[in-house]
Amino acid sequence: MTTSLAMLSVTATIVVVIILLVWGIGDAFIVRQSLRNFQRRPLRTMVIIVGLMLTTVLIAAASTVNATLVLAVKTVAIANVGRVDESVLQNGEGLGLFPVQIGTTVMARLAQDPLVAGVAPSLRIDGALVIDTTQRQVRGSVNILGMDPRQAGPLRDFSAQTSAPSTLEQLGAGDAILNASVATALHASVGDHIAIYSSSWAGQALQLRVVAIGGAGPLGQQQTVLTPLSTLQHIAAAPGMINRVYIANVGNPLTGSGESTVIARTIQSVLPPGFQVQLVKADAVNYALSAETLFGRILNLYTLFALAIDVLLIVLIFALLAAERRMDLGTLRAFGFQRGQLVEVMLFEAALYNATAALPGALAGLGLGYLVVTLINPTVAHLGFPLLVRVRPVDFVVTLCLGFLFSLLITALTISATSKLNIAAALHNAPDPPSTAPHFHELWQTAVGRQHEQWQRRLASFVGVLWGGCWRGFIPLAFGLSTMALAARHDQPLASAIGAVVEIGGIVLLLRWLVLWRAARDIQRLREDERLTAIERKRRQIDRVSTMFFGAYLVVYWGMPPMIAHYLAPSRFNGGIEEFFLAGILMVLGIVLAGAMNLSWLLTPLRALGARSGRLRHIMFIGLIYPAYQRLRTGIGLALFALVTFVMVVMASLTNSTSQRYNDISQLTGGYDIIGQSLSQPIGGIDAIQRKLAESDTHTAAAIQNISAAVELPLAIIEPGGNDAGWRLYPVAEVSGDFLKGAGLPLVARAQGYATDAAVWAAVRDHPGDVVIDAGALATDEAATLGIQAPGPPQLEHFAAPPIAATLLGPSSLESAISAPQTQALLRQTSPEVRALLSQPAQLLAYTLRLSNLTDADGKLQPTTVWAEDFRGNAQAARMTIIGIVNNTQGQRYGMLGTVATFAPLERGLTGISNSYYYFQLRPSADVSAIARTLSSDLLEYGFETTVISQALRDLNAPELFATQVLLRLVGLMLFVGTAALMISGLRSVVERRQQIGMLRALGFQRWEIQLVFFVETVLVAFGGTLAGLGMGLLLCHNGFALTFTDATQLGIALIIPWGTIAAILLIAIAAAAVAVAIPAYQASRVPPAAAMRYE
Amino acid sequence: MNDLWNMLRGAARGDRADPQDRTARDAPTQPAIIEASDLTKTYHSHGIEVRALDGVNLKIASGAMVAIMGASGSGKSTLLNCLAGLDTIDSGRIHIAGQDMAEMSDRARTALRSQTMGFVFQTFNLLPVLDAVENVELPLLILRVPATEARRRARALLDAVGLAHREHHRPAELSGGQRQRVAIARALINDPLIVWADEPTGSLDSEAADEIMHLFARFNQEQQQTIVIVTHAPEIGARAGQNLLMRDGRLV
Ligand SMILES: Nc1ncnc2c1ncn2[C@@H]1O[C@H](COP(=O)(O)OP(=O)(O)OP(=O)(O)O)[C@@H](O)[C@H]1O
Ligand SMILES: [Mg+2]
Repeated sequence: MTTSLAMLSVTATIVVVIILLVWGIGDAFIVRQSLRNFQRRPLRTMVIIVGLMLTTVLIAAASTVNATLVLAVKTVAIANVGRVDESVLQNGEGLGLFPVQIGTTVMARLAQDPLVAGVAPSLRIDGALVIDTTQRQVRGSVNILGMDPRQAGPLRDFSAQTSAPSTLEQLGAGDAILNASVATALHASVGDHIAIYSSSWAGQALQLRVVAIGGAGPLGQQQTVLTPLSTLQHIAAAPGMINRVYIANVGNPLTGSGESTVIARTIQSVLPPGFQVQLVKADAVNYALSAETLFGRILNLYTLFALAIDVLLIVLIFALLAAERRMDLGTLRAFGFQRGQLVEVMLFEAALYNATAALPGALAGLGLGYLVVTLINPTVAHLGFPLLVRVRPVDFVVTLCLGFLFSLLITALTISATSKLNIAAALHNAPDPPSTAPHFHELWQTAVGRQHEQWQRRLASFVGVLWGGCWRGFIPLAFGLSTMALAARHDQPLASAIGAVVEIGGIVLLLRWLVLWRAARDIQRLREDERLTAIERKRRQIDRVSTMFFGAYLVVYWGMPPMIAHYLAPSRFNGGIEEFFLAGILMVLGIVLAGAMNLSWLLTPLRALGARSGRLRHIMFIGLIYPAYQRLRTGIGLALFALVTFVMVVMASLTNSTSQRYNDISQLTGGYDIIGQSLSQPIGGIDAIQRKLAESDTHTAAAIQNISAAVELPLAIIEPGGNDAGWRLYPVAEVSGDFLKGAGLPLVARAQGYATDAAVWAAVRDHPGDVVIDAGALATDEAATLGIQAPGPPQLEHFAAPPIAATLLGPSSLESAISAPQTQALLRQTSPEVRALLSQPAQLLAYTLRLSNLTDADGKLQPTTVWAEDFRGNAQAARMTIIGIVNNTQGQRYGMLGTVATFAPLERGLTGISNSYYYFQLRPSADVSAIARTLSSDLLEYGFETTVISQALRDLNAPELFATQVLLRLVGLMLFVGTAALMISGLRSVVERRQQIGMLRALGFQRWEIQLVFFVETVLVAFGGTLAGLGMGLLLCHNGFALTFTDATQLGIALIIPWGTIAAILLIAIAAAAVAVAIPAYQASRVPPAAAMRYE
Repeated sequence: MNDLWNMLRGAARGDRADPQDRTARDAPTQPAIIEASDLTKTYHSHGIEVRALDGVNLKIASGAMVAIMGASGSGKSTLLNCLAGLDTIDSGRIHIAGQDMAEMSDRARTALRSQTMGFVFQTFNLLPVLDAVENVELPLLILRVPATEARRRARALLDAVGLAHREHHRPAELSGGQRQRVAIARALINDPLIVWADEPTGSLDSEAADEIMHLFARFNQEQQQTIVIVTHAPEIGARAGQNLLMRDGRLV
């Protein structure tokens, strides 16, 4: 939170409090009256305060959680980059060597700089292969770092875990320090001998002895081997040369990055042209925070929805309070009090409630935030994730102030809207009669006319004019149209969509008014005493029709599937949290509006049923009549239920989808446990591995159940009959081994003529040209036709490595994969256009294959022909036939898959791609990490690097895993808040009807019958609201999900609706409401009828 | 009008399940239908004790029309509520039609109320959500009378109280006198043995009050219903066969 926001909210709060105090001191009547109301019914006061507390609880909890999340993500990002804040390097390709003098200059310039803690001219060789010959383990993509330690400060600090030489000065020429990451990967210990291979010293090996195992080290969690600078310069044949100058800022690593730009400017001033200063840490933190965006978005969405629920609750509470006070108000007004004064009493009273609620609310929210984080701690402990709840006092105060101001505002609005009452009507406790307000032009005259008028009167008339203009539809219409026009000019789809809604609302109001106007003329012919009833009836009819229409419009407009919306309402979605929120609120509003206003009609069948329910007839009669009568109350109740359910459905689906994306490891890996890759020389296929293992290590061989292999090929594909016919890119892999039996590659669709998955795989195996492709390649409607849940489109990394392996490359290793010599060589062979495309991940989407013509008229998959060609360009296209669709809901198994025989013709004349990935699925009892180690050791001569997939995924997705855990807890919190809201609304509904309960008891209703009346009523509202919320939630998730979240965040998340959870949520919501009325209804029914009737 | 009325009453009687009520009513010399002895009731609020009933003894004969009178705050409403079983008593005994109220379960008491009593309150206490005819027929729905029959009787009674043309008006759309007439129709619809009325004319002008009292007198004479009315108005007391005067929680 920014300081200006803090200042603003605190100032506003102080001003409001002062106004209240001055007001209170100046007007004793108001204070006395509101204090009396405040004390009169402790239970009611408590319920109201709890209701108001929810706002602050929510804001505080969300901000606590968000602060923790951001802090954790930052910490991880910083752990990943290590102690380096800035790095100087030379533009250009290759190693980017420059003379060590540049480093000396920078050192000299920064020697006295108070912002700088250390400078280290260094030589860094990336992507080396390290073999621990003692442990017989292999690791690729390791950084070898040599640095000048003299002025390195904290960069020198390897925070050694062992007692051996911990400072770089003491390092001998053949010594190496391993950082924790690489040491763990190699299972290395002090005294091991390692051999390092690199393209920078091709044909040689750098032989070193491990003298220490460090902590994170200057390069953080990137795998790093530290060796004397001179040793490295020698073997890389670069004496006197370096390629980096690393700088560490003073201060705590979390705050250090703040001064980076200043330091960078200082350094830049002494650098010759062609050099740049990278803000390593600031960039990493920003990158991590932007990756956190998805969760930030969900968190924001959560807060917005929670606030919407709370607004409804506050409106409900105070609308009920105002209704309860109607009699009072009427009487007092009859005695000559101004409406303003009475509203003031209520406002002051409301301010008392709010003030009482604010602090406990904020504290409770903080507590809940802590609780959420603490509950997560055990679940994420294995990720080694730092969890620190750090809430700054400023944030707390801001939360407090914002919560107070927000709920006070809503309260004040509700009170002034609901207390616009007619004195006579209030005395009668009757609904307000149809407005007999002066005519529009009279108001207008008073407002702007020339005659002498009091300014208050003028103002009031002016408000009247505005109000009348709104109800007659003119103002909304004009506002809607102008908003749409403005929005179109400034390309603001959201504003334009809002404009459209307001405009349609205006049209509906205008039509309604015209019809009423005509009706009023007809009614003149009726008898005087019938006119009122007749016009009231007419108005009710028209309201029904118009709300029905408007409600339906809202639901249809925001709920229409994206495909249709694309043509009909192009302005509707452009993928943002605001749209998602707005769509949700408006859809719920629409259905509740239409439902509540037409309830008496909707309930007809139920009432008919009730009339036939024998012994329960009178109960059904009373239970069904109240909801239809109290339309506002029922409407708010329905909206509350609908919104809670809606939000729960949406949040649960979102959270479930994201957590499935990250949590379900066996889904993600297709059941494979280990991925291996030979880094020094080709191993020669699965057969070679099996032969080798059978010879030397039968134990390991026995533990392996399936072995598969895949090689990624750079192919372009065209679907001749498709809607999008043109050369398109898609991941393609040449697969062998057990992949070809379908292991880890379940199919979701088979072409006509293939009865089983086995038949499809047999064809792929034995019939060159037959291939399968994953569901991500299908166009949206094609996937829908086949009834397949498609994942998001593939990302850049899916083009860089074959199925399953792709996502194991984190952002940092993605870079190294791209900069790897093989990839670079491959890229050099491609056309500039392709290269440009690959460097622009955002553009890639437009050139990604979307198959659109795979099905026949019956919606069945047909064997479909596509053509493929290597995009390195050897003019050898070949025909492929797609005969099956691989299920990749989880977005892990991207690619068109076929055999060597299928793809060989395309590769003729091109450099072979030797980069094979091997996939091992072990028998259930096997020790995965032990086997991974022995595999690497058995195949040491090939430099066989093995990775335990689950471990890698966990490391890679730690922040996401953490965030999904947070979100899961938040959904729980939301359910809690929603339930509390529902319970409060239930409680109030009984309290306000005490008198009628007494009367019904006097007439002969038994206690249990009274309870049943409330039960029927509550279940009706709960069920109706829940159903509406469920429907809207599913609709919105289904339509809006892909657009809003998947595409916008490029994460390839598929919507997975957690039916079980949703069912549980619905039950809890309904049960909570039932309990919430059952208890007070039980109590109320036990009070002697006389006492109940006396109730105020 | 009277013929219609008698016809209706006959029909209503035919429906009545409880034979005991009949004997009570048809006996030539009327025994006490309401009998109370040593009733006490004390309200506690804000640390102050208010002795609302202080040893009340009374007997009301079946078919009588009784007015309970007394100063404001003397305990009239409390007595009425206690006798009708709407409120609890601290000590004493109440017998209604020979049955001991204290020994009855809440359930039985409620059933007794709905079968043998009708209520008219000062503040009408109609259900605002129901229209006039629905308010009137509600007690019959509780007694599980078939819907068409209930509607027929409710209409007839509304007609009898002169509100046939206001059948579908909700309470809020009726005047005070009209509301009270609806309440009376509701009190009579179950053909009760006892009608309790707590200041039924309290919020009406004298003309409307007169009409209401006229209705009560008519029902009392024609149907021999026991009618207990709490009132301040002496002219109403004059119409009643028996007057009970309360002072400080006692009958004097
Ligand atoms: N719920 C209550 N709590 C405390 N005291 C009560 C309560 N109800 C009644 N009282 C007291 O009991 C006494 C008798 O009240 P009651 O309502 O029976 O009087 P009343 O004779 O009906 O008066 P009125 O003619 O004004 O209606 C009064 O003094 C009143 O203040
Ligand atoms: Mg009284």
